[in-house]
Amino acid sequence: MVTWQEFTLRSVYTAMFTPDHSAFAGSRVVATIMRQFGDRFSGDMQVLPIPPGFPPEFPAVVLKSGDGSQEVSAGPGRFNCVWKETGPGVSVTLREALDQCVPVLEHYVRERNVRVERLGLVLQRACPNDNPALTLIQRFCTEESQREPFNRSATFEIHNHKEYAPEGVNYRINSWVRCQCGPGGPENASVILVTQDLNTMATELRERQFDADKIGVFFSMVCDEAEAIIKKYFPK
Amino acid sequence: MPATIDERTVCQPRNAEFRAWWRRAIKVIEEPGVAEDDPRATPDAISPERLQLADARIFHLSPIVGQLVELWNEPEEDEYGRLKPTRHAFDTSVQFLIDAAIVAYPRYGIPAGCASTDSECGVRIEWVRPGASVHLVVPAEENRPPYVYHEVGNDYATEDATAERLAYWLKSID
Repeated sequence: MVTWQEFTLRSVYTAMFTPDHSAFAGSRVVATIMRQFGDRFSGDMQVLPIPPGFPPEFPAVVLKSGDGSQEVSAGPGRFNCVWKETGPGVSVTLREALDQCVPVLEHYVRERNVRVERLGLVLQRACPNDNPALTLIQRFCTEESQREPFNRSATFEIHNHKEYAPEGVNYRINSWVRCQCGPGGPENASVILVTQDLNTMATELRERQFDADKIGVFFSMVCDEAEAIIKKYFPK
Repeated sequence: MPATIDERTVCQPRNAEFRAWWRRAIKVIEEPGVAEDDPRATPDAISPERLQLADARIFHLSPIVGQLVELWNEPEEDEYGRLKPTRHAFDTSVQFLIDAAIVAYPRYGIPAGCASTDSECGVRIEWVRPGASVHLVVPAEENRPPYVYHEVGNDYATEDATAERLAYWLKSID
């Protein structure tokens, strides 16, 4: 059986949602990020005008690291900092990836005095596997279900959503886990993909506001949550 | 996450939506042969197709901003004088460059230029060509307005800096 230790991190998206759309200016985003993290985001830069009716969650600014492993994207309603695996042999823990991303979010909020009403973490892990569908079915389905109807599955996925208040914070979060089959990685090998999405509730926007310190607390908390969850899905 | 938008998730919009909006934003015709999303896959934050569309001819901008970042990371001063721009000068000059690039896009781009600091920690960005030059000067302090100086043939003048004027003069020398 596959265990959590066999998974490697593919990507980590840290996202914060900013309701004051009119305060957004792409040029200010670039100046603010480049002043503090200019050495890191030395790759391609993209900044485009925002036409009327432009969806606020779409990015108007993209800044990339030279090796493509990190990226900032920002629009009027959403700011992302992303870490991506760039090749085999690079083993990074979730905590290490977040240590790269979260200071960028905190810096932006402190410098621009941005109001943040929602936060999210989306991460993807992969584990090479010759028959991902069969492995997932054997892990998550009863023997009866394995015989029928899941006896000839070419692909298979499970998708689980929970809402709960984690320890240490006074708000609830959504926690999604999606286990999928798929090709992935540089060699397009057969893999089990696990996507986790932990985010604060959209229904509690008016009640929440996250300053830089609270942003740090949120991502530290969901880091622990995400690690605990993957161990439950794929225990030793 | 689910293919339909679900407010309990924080996934990004789908590639098709990106393409539709970026077509409007940058007024380009969609390249044929762009692959559709696999609806079974989690959407990427930014699709490769969108990145192609968003290749906004901000070609020389990264090197100029890179020069400003280098200046920002310099020591405060050396034996020849002060090196590091003030925060105001850094932020303002980056903002002028970006806004001028947005004004210029998609008709033309920001040409390659050279950034330096003056003795008071202001920023000077110069585009020098045979018979023509454009200079963006951002003083160190907020109480002194930035300006654009141009020399194109026999025409020369100084004017208050705006993204529109900077883009206009850069177009004339590119």
